[in-house]
Parts: sequence; structure tokens; C-alpha cells
Amino acid sequence: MGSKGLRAALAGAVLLVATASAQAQGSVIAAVPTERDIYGEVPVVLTASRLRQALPDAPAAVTVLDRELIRLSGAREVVELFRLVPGFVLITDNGNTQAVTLHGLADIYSRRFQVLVDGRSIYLPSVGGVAWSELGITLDDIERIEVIRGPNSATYGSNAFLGVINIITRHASTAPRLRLAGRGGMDHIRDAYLTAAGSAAGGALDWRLTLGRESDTGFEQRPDRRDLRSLNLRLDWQQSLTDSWFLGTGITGGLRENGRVGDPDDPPRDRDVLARWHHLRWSRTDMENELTAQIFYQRRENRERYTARYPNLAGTGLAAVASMDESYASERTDAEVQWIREPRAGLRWAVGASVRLDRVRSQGYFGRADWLENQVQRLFGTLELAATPRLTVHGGAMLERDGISGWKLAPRLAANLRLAPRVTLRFAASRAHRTPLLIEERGYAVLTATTALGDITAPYVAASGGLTAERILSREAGLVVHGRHLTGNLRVFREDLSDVIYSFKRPVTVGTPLGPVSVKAYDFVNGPSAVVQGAELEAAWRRGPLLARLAYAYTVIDGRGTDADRLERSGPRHAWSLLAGWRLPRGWTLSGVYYYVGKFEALGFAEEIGAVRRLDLRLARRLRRGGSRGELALVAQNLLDTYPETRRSPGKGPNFFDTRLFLEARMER
Amino acid sequence: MRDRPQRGEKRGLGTAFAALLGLVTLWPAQLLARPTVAVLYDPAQVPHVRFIAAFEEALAREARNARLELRPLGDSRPLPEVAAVVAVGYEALSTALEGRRPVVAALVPRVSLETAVARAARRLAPEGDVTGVYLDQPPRRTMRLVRLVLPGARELGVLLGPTSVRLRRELERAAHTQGFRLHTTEVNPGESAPRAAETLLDEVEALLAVPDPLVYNRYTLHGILLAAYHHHVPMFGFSRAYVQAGALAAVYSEPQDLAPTVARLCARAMRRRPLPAPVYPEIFRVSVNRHVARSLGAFVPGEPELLRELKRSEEEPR
Repeated sequence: MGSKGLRAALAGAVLLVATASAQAQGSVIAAVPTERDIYGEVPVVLTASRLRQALPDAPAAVTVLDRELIRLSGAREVVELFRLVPGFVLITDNGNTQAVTLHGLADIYSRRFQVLVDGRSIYLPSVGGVAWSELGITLDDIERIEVIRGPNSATYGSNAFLGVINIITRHASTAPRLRLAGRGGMDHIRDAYLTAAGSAAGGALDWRLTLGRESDTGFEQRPDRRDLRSLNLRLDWQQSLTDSWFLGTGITGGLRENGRVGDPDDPPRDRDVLARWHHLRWSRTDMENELTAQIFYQRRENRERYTARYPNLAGTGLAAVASMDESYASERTDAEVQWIREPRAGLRWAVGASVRLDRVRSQGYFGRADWLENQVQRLFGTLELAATPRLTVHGGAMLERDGISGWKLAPRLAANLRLAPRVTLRFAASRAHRTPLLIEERGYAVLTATTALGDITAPYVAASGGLTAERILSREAGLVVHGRHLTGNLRVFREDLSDVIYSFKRPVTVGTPLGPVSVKAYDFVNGPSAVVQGAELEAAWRRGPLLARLAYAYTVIDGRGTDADRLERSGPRHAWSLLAGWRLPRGWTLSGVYYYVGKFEALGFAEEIGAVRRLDLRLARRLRRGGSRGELALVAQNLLDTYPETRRSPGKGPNFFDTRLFLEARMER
Repeated sequence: MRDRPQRGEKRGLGTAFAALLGLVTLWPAQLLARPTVAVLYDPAQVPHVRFIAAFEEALAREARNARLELRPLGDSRPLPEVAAVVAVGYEALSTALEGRRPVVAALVPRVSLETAVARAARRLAPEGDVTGVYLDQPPRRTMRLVRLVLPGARELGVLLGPTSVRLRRELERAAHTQGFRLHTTEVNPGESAPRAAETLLDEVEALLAVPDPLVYNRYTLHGILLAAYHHHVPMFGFSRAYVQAGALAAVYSEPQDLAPTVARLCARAMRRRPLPAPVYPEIFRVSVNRHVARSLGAFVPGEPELLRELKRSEEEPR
């Protein structure tokens, strides 16, 4: 845990506090309001980029998961929330490893998404996807999550391939001074959180510190325990009327068990994880301009060593023992500047540039001890023009270069036509790319097995390299209704995917004391293409204490080329969720969600999962005592039959999701 | 001296003497007939300067013979005999209340004017010789705006600080008239206004900002506005700057809007008529943040239409 970065960040924080305090000396706030309060200038708070675009104006289909929805859903962790987004499917490898996907192409890594936390991309450059359980953000600290369905590389860069997940945490000034929260229940769920917040420098500087611990024993009969601790610090400093700073830093570490019971080559073992990040952003804002510059660094380490036993190694009849090392360290350093300008009403443009360095080091995955690097440079621009009072046109493009797949251009065009004050029609077309991962391009893992006759060395991952980026061309039409009680959007789309990178097992001949033997190693190629067509519907109806919300997706995948049928099965035809919430008198709230996911087979998983039906219920009571307030809630996840979550390797440790009950309590002041 | 009456044809000694006599006798009378209005202000503050420019014109219309004596704050020379002292801003008012009367306050919010008068009253001040035009808007006007913008809203929140808490009753009355249920949360010294807002925002459909430096200042506004926005609760501000910062709408008066009323009060003082109690601004404006309106999904009428409606409802007998 030699964290030079953390020390640097803390030093930065101290410096920020000191500077802020020094600056605040001069500003004394009067006791009574004066003309200065009324005619004085104040910082522009809700700037163009901070305003959540009104859904009818957005150039893409956006699902917003706000705090109310997050609470009503009864979710325990962030990744579960995506079940509420039309077209999204949650995949679990085990109780502490999950992934999400949209429109099929489901695998255990959320490889085709851009995931941002306060503008910081948390997508892993090494193996792809997001380590959701190591996010280190408590649900209480989240302001909202915006999910853009459909590619949006023109704004978010590669990996904004199928969609973008944008997690926005709460400003430090709105955190309670003190919050204690906990959760306990079946599967040995034991979660505890402590948040403290305050301000300094006459209110110019706000801080929030959250400590968390999450633990459970995962699925029954699976070695998938987790015990993770996290620290998350956020500082917000209003330096002057126009300038503000944001500093975030966090660390998550602990244990995530892995392996399978009764599988000697994949035995139960501990995986020690440590993730940390630092993020600094400066913004200068006035009525027309918003200039931001940010830099972030994040590092994730995974230590996982175990002994694998093979009763019959590669069909040779030999028993073998191998020491496995799946440890790795990956880093991302990123700097970005962006300028948004709105010279007049109805015209807005943004330009920006960024540089990024991704590094990964893993003997186990790359067969070498040094760091592998990939550099990414980007230039991007977008323009939004209200051509007529009813027609708004959005155009944008990102030019990107990276060390693996070279130059790429991702353009996007959209037009929003207001049919009536509360009804908007949208057309959009875009092209996006997914840069091959380092493991896909340069993965090389070797197993050295010790047998009675001597050592046998065989690769089990052997990437041939030479990959090009996956490509997607998306066309969509959408209808957005923004009524007083009813809001909703419908999206019909066609997505043409080509050069899809997929893994297959390539025969490799290795020498053994018994002569040459053919073994299989994972390799990656740009293979099949697919046309994905479908429709997504999201509708919410709210009236007084009642809320009902439906999310539905219909998806048809038409695969072409190698393993086309595998692609076609990689997403459910129908999937939907229905949420209902009811605010009862005396601070009670009752809510429930019914989920249905049709059968599908995730890529890399050897088994089709039948249709899944699930019902979650939550009953909560608001508490107030003196200056404190809180909530007590009972959550029941899956009140229907036990169902199997997706799993690799059938017959080896099922991921049976039985009914899970837990109690949540939160108190703040 | 340019408008001193001309007298001057040489018609001999008698005429000259008569003229001299006339001059001597008329001179003080002339002075008395040209009453002086002193204006105490801070030249460094742009709103003060804008107010004075408009006030000079307005006063010329109300009382042609009035003479204006501009006194920057910090000018310690004693004031001459004056018909009225116009105090521009809170600091000028505090200074003016220690000197000559009557005092006409301008650009001072209501609670501040009351505070200043109450403080001065302990020392001198016979009642009735302090008047003025408040800088803030009457609660019934701001609440009417909230009603026009959000016809269906019922729960209205207000954050009150140590000074604005005195407006609670008036706010409650106005809220009731407009069909709102008022939720108030008091922010005490040392407490965080954004945090207090978090609690209040759970219960309300709109947040009305009332000037109180302990609650709303350049540091707290950020947190309050963000919190309100994230709760989907529009904030109604008290200035144009607030609307630019992210409040949905505001009704407010620019410095020049207050000048005609202040001039009228001065003219009254010159005629030695009894002065009325301080009044709320008669001229006001409405500003709407269209971006915020769209983002919140609020369908807000145009600014001219809102202003027309506000004026119309104030003309109706209450």
C-alpha cells in the first residue's frame, strides 16, 4: 500500500484548505442583508454542463436513476440498479463479480460501456469492464446516475460503444454533518458506513469523508465471500465567483474470494484487491463560458495466487500441479481540458482535448514483468443549434488515436423536433469504436505444470495481436413525452456491429515428456458481425404519493460470420421491469420491483439461462428525532422461486439466487 | 448661481439701493425656497451610482427647485439645513440616522431598515421621520410569481436566518393567500444552509429565497442551488444574479426602478407633509432562467406575460 499518490493527494487537500482559509479571511458576512446581497454577483451554479439536459432536448436516449428511484429499488449496490434500465442485463460470475450489458454481447466484463464517476473513467484498460464491487461509493453519496443508451463516442470517446453510465456523486456541501448507516441480513450481509462532512474558510470550502465496509458470503455453495473497506474524500472549493475546484480521492481494498468448489484446477482462493484514485478538477464559469481542466490517476491491484491441480493434464493421463498467478496491476492517468460556450440562446458548442496513459503489469496475463502501455489522444467537439424554435440539431465528432488501433473518427448527428410542447421526436445516427484491450491484443499467459515426468509449459492465453477496433453504426428514432404526470420515451434502433472481437480456443502444440500434445489457448480475433434491432420503452407515472415505472426492451440479434449463433443467443429477446412505489402516511414507504429477463447465453458462458422472474419488496419508515433524521427499511430480494443467475461452467457451483432479506438503517444529522 | 434672478438696469442710486435691499432681504428667502436634498452614498458601488443618476432625473420632475447635495460616505463635513437626507444603502442609512432628519432610505432591504431604525431609535429619532423604499419585494408579490410559474404547487419552502426570521408571519400570510402550505427551516449561526436545505427540500415543491446573508451568500448559494436542483425543486431568487446562477425565476427591482418613489417621498418631505411608512418597490421586473425551466420540465410563461399578470393582480382590490 505504498501510496505516494495518496500522500500527494492529501498534501494537495491540505494546501487547498490552507489557501481557501487564507482567502476567506477577507470575506466577512454581514449580519443583515444589504444591497450587496441583492446586487452582488454570485457564481453561476447551474451551468450548461451541470444542468441535466431536459430529456426532450437530449440528443440521445437517457435513463435517469435518481435518489428516489435508487432508494425505492431496494438495491444494495450500484450495479444492481442497471436492471431498471431498459435493455440492460446483469450478469454474475459469482457473488462479487458482476457485469452489465445492453442488447446482448453479454460477457463477464462490461467491455462495451464507458463508465464515469464524476467525469472519471473507471473502465479498466487491462481486462476491460468495471470492478463494480470495488467502486467504493455508497448509494447515499450518489446524486443520480445517467445512462445513455446507444453509442456516444463523439462525446465520451471509445468504449462509449453500446452506452455510457455516468455516476454523479453529491456535492460535499449537501452531505449531512454526520451519517451512520448499516445493513445486515441473510448471506451474512454486514455493511457499515460512516460519513462526516463540514465546511471551512467561511463556507467556501466543503468537505465530505465516507468510510465504508461491505461484506457478505455471496451465493450459497460458492466461494465468493467479499470483505471490502473503502475511504472516499471529496472537497469542493469555491475559490472566487468564477473559479471552483473539486478534489476527490478514494481507496478501496480487501478481499474477494474466487474459484469453485470441487474444481481442482479452479480451487477456492482469496483475491486481494486494492484500488485507489485521485481526481482534481478546476472550472472557470461565467454566463457564457465554462472552462474545465482535470487530471486523474487511478490504480488497481489484484493479488491472486493459487495452486491448480490437474488429474489428467490435457488428456495426457498425467496428474499435474501448477502454481498460478493471476495478479495484476493496472493504472490510468488522464488529463483533459474542455471549453463549453453558449454565445447566444439556442447555440452551444464544446471543444476539448485529452491525453491518457493506460498501463498494466501482470506476469500471469502477459507473460512479462514490465509495464505494458497504451496511450490515447483525443480531440472532440460538439455543436448544438436550435435551427428553429421546434428543431434542434446536434452534431459532434471525436478524433482519437491509440497505440493499438490507430486513428479513429467517431461522428454523431441528431435532430430533435418538438411536435407539441410536451412531445419530442428524435433522430440520431452515430458511429463508435471499441479499442481492443491490452489482454485481447497482447495477452499471453503460460501455465507451468509439474508432473511426475517433469515440467510441462503450456500457454492458456495466447493473443495473436493485430486487432482492429470493433465498430458500431447506430441509427435510432425516439419519441419523448414529458407530461406533468407521465414521462416516457420510446426508442427504436438498428445497430450494425462489425469486427466484433471475440475469444476462441486455439489449438497450440506443446512439447511434453510424452511427446507433442495439442492444448487449447484463448485467442482473440476480429470476427463476426451482427445487426441488432429492437425497441426500448421507459415510462413513469407519478401522481401524489404514487409512482409507477415500466422499462421494457425488445431485442433481435442477427449474427453473421463465425460463431454467429453464439452472438444471437447473447441477449434476451424480451426483458422488462415494473417498479411501484407508494408513500404512505406517517413516513412509511412501500415499494416493489418485478423483473423479467428472457433466456439468453452470455458470451464465454457455457450454458443458457432460462427466463428469470424476480420480485423485490421494500418497506421503509422515515425517522425523526430532535435534529436527527433517518430511515429504517426491510428489503426482500427475490420473493419468487429460486433462480439461477448466469454462471460459467454448468455443474460447478450454481449461482442460485434464493430469497434474500436484509435490514437497512440510516441516521443523519 | 446660474439661475439667480437677473436684476440690473442702472436706474440711479435709488434703484440700486432698492436692488441691494431686495437682494439682502430676498437672499435668505431664496435659499429657503430652494430646498436641499442630501444624498449619502458610496461612489464605489455601481448600483448606488445608477440609482443616483435616475434619482436626479426623478427629483427634477417631482420638485423643480430642489437642490441635490451629493455626499460620498466618509465625507465628514456637516450637512447644511436639508429638506431630506436620502441614504443609499445600509451603511449610508446607519450613518444618516445619526444626523439630520428626515431620512429617506433607498436600496435597503426591509429587515435591515427596521434593524437600523430600531438601533437608532434608542438614541434619538422621533418616529415618522424615517421612510424609504425597501429593496426587497413584498412576499405577496414573490408568492404570486411562484403561483404563476407553478400553478399546481402546494408545498413551498423557505430557509430563514436570524434576521429574515422576522418575516415569517408576513410570509405565512402571503403563502396562505396564494394557496401554499409554507415549510420553514431556520438556519442558526454556525449551521450549514445547504445542509438545512437538504432536509427542507424533501418536503417541498418550490424553494423561495429570502435575503439573509447567513443563509444566502456566495458560498452557500452553490450548495443550496445544487441541492434544490437535484431534488427537482425550482428555486425562486430575489435578484437577476440569482436567476443567472440557476434560480428558475425572480421578481426584483433594479436601482433605477426605486428612484421615482424615493423622489416622490423627498418631494413630500420638502412640502413638510407627514411621511408615510416605508414602502415596497412599485416598479419591478421579472426574470426567468429558460435553461433551468427546460431542464426541470417546467412550462413557464414569458417574462412580459408574468409581469403583466403580477401588475394586474396587484391592481385588484385585496
